[in-house]
Amino acid sequence: MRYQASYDDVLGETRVQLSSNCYTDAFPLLHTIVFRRQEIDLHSQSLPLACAILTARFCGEVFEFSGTKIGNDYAETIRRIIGPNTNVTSVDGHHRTISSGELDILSERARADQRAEPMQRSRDNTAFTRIDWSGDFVSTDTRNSQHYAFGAYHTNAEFFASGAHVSIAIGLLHGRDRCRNLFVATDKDSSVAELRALGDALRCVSVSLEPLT
Amino acid sequence: MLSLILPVRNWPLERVQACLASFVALGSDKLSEILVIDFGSDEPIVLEASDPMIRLIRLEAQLWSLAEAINAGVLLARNELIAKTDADILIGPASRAEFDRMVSDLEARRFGLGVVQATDLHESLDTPAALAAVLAGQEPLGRLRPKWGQGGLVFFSKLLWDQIGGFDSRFTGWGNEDNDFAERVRRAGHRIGWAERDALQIFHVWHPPSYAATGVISQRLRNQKIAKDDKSVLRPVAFRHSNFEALSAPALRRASPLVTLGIATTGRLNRNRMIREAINSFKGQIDQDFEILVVDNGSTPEDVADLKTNLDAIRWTDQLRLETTEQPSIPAARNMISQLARGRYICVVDDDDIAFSNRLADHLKVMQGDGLLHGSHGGWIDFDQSTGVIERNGGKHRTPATLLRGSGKITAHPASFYRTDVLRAVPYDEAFALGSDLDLALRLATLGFSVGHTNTYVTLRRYHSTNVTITGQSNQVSNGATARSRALATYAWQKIEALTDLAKANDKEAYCRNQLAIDSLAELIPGYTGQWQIYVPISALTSAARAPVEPERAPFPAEPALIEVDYSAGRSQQMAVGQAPSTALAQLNSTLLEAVLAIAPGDICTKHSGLNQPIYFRSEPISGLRKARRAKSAIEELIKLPSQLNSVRQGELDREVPFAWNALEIKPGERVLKSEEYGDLSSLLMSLARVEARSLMGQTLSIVSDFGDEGQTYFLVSPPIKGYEEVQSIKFTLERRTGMAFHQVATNGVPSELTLSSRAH
Repeated sequence: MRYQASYDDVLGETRVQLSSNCYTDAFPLLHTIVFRRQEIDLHSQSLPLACAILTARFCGEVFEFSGTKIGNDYAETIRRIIGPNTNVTSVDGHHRTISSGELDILSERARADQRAEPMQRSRDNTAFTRIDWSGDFVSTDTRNSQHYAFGAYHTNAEFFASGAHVSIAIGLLHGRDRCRNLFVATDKDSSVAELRALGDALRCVSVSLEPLT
Repeated sequence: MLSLILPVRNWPLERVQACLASFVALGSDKLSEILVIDFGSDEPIVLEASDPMIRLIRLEAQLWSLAEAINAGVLLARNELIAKTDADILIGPASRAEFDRMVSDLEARRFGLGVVQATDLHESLDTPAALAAVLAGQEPLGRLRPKWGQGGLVFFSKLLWDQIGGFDSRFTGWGNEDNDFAERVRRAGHRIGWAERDALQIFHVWHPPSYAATGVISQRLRNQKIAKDDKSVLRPVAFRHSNFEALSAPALRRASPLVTLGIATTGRLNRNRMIREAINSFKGQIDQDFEILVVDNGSTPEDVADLKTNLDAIRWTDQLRLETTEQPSIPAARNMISQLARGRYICVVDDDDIAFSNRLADHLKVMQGDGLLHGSHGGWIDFDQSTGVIERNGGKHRTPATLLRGSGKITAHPASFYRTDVLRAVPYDEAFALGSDLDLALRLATLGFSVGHTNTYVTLRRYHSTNVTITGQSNQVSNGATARSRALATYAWQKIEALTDLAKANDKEAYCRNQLAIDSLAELIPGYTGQWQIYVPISALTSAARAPVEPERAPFPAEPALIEVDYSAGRSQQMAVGQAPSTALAQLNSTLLEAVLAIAPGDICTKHSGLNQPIYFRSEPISGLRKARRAKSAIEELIKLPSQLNSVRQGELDREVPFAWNALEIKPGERVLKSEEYGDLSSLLMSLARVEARSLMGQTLSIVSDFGDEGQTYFLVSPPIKGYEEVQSIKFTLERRTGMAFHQVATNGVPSELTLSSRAH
C-alpha cells in the first residue's frame, strides 16, 4: 500500500490517502483517512506507524509511506504489525531513533456517559496526558447518537480498524515520538491476542501498550 | 469443507481425467466435492471410472463463457468454500498440507482470494507423461509463472462470491474474467493471499495455444474492454449463455439479487394505492434483478394485514418481502432494510413515489464509471396531484461544502442509491424521528464517502396531504438544523468560511439529460389532472404561417432567431429580430386569432423574463390533461403547426425570475430609456405599433419581460444612447409616438428622471 499524507489548510484536515502499489493490497471502504480539529505532525515516524496499525488488514506486501523518514526500528515494528512478508520501503538504516518516553498517554473514544481511568499510573514525574477522539455520530451497535461526544480529534479511522486500534493510533499521533506508556481503553470487540501482539510490536520502539478494560 | 470446480468445454477427455486424478490423489480431507461443469461441449463429456466425490454437470450453451460456467458451479456446490481450477492443471501429491492450510486460512478469512503460483510444463511433456511425473513426486521440467493474475488454482468463499456478484458472465471465452474478479475482491476490502510456492505446487500442462481458434482474439479484446471500462465492484449474477437458469431455478435463488428496493412505510390515507404505484414503476427494470423489501413501522395490525393483502396482489415478482416493526420510526425501518437486504445495493424508495423507467440502470451506470463511489443520487421531480405543481430539481453534487453551506436543493433521499455495505457501516440515526435522511447524507459526506450524480432525473416525488415532509415540517426543519450544526462542528470553527466559499464554487445544479415535457411527465403519474395552458408562438398566428404544411412533418416553429446586434461600437446585445417587436401585432391574422380564441380564450405573453423574449399566445388554464390535449389538437389542426402544453404552475415557475437590468451593459456616459411598466403585453405592443416598424427606432426598440411584486411586467427599452442631447431628443420622440412615459437608466440599473444634472455625464 502506498500512503500519501497531506494537510489541507483550507479545511484544516490532515489526510492520508491510500493507493494500491501491489497485487496483494485490498481496498478499504474509504480510501482516505481524515483527521480534523487537531493538527498532526506529518514528519513524525508515529504517523506511518499509526497508519500501519489502522490499515494492517488491507496492506499487502509493500508498505510505502512517502514524505516521512522511517528508521529501522519503526520499520521493524511496522513489519511485525502488518506481517512478516511485508517490505517496508525507503528505510534509513542509520536512523535508529525510537520513542523518547517523555509522555504517558491515555487515549480513548470520547463518550458523554463514561471515561476510562488508567489502572496503574506510574508514580514518577513523567507527564501524563489524556486524549480522546470521535468518529461517526451514530454507533453501529445502537444505531443511535445517544452518548455521543466530540473528542479532541475527529476522524473516520474507525472505518479502517476497531475502536481500540484507533485509540492506539491517535495516542501515537498525539504523543509523536515521545510516548512511553500508552493506556488504551478497549471495548468488547477488542481481541486480547491482537492487542498483545500489537503491544509486542510497539516494544520495538519503546512504547508500552497498556489496554484498559 | 471445500468444493472444487472444474469448468470445461471441448477439452480432450484425457486432460480432464488427468486433472481429476491429480486432485483425487492429493487426498485432502478438506476436499469433499469436485464439480465438472461441461459448458456445452460439442460431444458431452463422459467420465470413466469416476470417483464418488466427482459430480458431472452438463449445461447447454452456444457460446463458451468460463465466467458463467464457474458461477453455475458455485451455485451448485454443496460447500461454502470453493476452489476453482482448469482442466490443464495438475497438482502435486505433496501439496496436501499447504492445500489444507489455504482452506483453513480461507475459512478464517485471512484472505479473500487465495492464489497458487503455477509452473508451465515443457512442450515435450504430454498429458500422460506429465501426470506420471507429478504423481511420482518429481519436479517436471517447466517454468514458474509470475506472481500475478489468478494462476491455475484459486480459493474463495461462496459468501464473498455472492457479495460481489461472482464472475461477470459478459466475459465470453476465457481471459480477463479472472483478473476482473480478483480486482473486485480487492476493491471489496479483501486481500489476495498467495500459497507457499514450494509447499503447494501446481503444473500447467502444455497444449497448443487456443489463440488460433476462430473468434478467440476478438473475444479477448472484448473482454479487455469490459475489464477496462467497468469499474464497479458489485455486479449481477446473470446467466446469458447457457440453459442454467431454466435447469436450476432453485439453485439460482441462492444468489443474491443485485439491488434491494428498500421501502419504509407506515399506515396512512391512500397508502395501498400509492405503494402499488411505487412498486409497479420498477417493473421490468434491469431484468428485474432486484428484490423489494417493504418494512412497515408502527402501523396497526389491521393496516399491516391490509398492506399484506395489497402486496400479495402484485404478481409480476416473487421477490417481494414484507417485514414489520412495532416501533413507529422511519430510521429504524430503514436500518432494518439495511440489515435484511440481500441486494448488493440498496435503492431508497419512498412508498408514495414513482420511479422513472431508467432509474436503476442510471444509478448502476454511475457506479460502473467510478469504482471508488459508494452510491449515487439523481434529480427528482416533485409533483402535487391536487394543485398540478410539477417542479424539476436537478440536485447538486454532494460534497461536505455543498451540503453544509450550499444553497437550494442538493439531494433527495428517495433519489438515492447506496452500496449495502455502506448503509450497514453508516446506519441511520434512530435518535431522529424525521430528518435522518439529511443527517445520513451529511455524515456520509463529512466522513469521506463519495456519492456521484446520475445526471438524470430518477424519480417523481409525490406531495400530498399526508406527506411526512408536510405533516412533520417543523420537526424536520429543527432536526435538519441539528444534523447540520453537528456535522459542521467536525470542522474547526475557523474553517467554516472556507466551506462557504467552496460551496459557492460548487453551486451549480446538475444537468439532467432526460428532460421530458410537462405533459409527458404527467402521463407517468396515474390519475394526474392538473391545470394546463396551451402556448402558441405568435409567429404561428401571422398570415405567413398559414402556408400549407404537412402537420405531421412540420417541425416545431423555430423561436425567433436570436442574433447579435451591434448597437454601438464594441457592444453587443441579444435581440430577437425574427420580427421587430413593433410588427408583432401588425402581422397577426385576425381571423386565425379569433378562431383560436374560440377554442381556447387567452392572451399573449412571454414564457420567460428577459430581453426580447419570444412572444406566445397563451390559453387560459384548462382543467385536466385530456381536455387540454383536445384543445391543443384543435388549435394545431387550425394553425397547421405544433403548439406546446404546459402546466400552469410550471409556467409560473418559468416566469418567476426578475430581469437582471445590469445585463443591459450600459457603459459609463450612456443611458437607456425605459418605458413605464405594463402588466399586459398586448397593451405595450399596441403602443409600440405607433412607432414606424421600418424606422431605425422601430428596429432597435426592445421589450423587457420582468418579474416583480405585481407578477410579470413588460417594459419597452431603447438601445444605449450617448450624450445628453441625444437622450433628450429620443425620449421626446418616443414619448410623442408611443404615448408612454420614459425614464433613463444608467450603469447602476436604477431608473431616474432625465434632468439637467444628467448633462454631467
